[in-house]
Amino acid sequence: MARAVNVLSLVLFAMCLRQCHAGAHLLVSKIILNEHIVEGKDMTVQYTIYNVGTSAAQSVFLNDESFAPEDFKLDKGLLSASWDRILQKGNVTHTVIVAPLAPGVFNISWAQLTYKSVDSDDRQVGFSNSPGFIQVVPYPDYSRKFEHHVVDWLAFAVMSLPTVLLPWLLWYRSSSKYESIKKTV
Amino acid sequence: MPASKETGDELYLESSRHVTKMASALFYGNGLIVSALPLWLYWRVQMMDPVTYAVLFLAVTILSTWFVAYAYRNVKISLKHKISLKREAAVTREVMSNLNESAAGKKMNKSDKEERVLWKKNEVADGEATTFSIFYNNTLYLLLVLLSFYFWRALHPGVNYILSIAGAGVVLAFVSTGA
Repeated sequence: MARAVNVLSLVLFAMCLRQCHAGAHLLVSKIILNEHIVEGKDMTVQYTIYNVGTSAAQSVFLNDESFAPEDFKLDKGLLSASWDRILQKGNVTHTVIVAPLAPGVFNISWAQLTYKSVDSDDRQVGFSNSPGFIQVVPYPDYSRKFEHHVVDWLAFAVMSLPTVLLPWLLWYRSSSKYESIKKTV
Repeated sequence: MPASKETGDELYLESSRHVTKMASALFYGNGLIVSALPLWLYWRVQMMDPVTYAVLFLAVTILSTWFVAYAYRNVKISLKHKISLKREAAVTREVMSNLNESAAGKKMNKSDKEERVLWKKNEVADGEATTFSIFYNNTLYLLLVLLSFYFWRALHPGVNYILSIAGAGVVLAFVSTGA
């Protein structure tokens, strides 16, 4: 009896899945590509939309309001994007570059997606994953740890050279003069 | 050339551990320059804001300047006598040659000529000892600072600065006492 109930549940679930994905069905992922998120430096956010439904999606509109203007500066791209059509089993990618304005912990929530199926007038709404809390590292800490500062080291070498070279030259001038006199004695 | 004949006491002072005011000013001036150089590294590489750390920078730079000047003085004093002995023959030859060529020199008696040689020997030894001391201590100090900068890199930048700069100064002063 229990076994029969399990089999029936599986059949009903499969039927439901088929029914649920009838028409266009879009899934959207939201990923922050940076390994380190640093104050004032670019942070790349990539949105990928997959159509896993049985028909094309149209009037696709993506909107992300999780990057508040007082916390993040929009460098490149737009936080809203639209596509006329995404074919069945097709996917599109959208990239935005923002820069955190201050260090600290920020909660990055989901992006919202609205679309219609070609065979229906109903507007559907979907949400991306939420990257969650991100740690924005202060720029001085990042610079100290990861940047090479080649120009700064070269400048230090140029500034230090006279403090070593000049006294050596003065000593060498006198020393070589009296060494040559000594050799002729 | 001295304007008037120097007494034995004055010549002895110049040959001994005495450091003139001019030399002292030179040592402190050079010490300040070489102690202030690493500030660039700590500002640009360790990202220490000069305004925030102004008091720390000033205090440690002054301390380091004193240690470096102390090292300059010690190394100079220890080198001067050795250089004086080394240059004796060459300086004697140079001075005697100059005196023999000049009319005033020909009229000088032996003891005056010897005093002139002694004075010149002291001047050359003083100059070479001073310049070599500055060269040697500057090189050693900068090497110590660079090594410490790297060695203490995991610590807070302020702690790194104190340990590197003051530490280099202390080591320099310590090494100079045995030079």
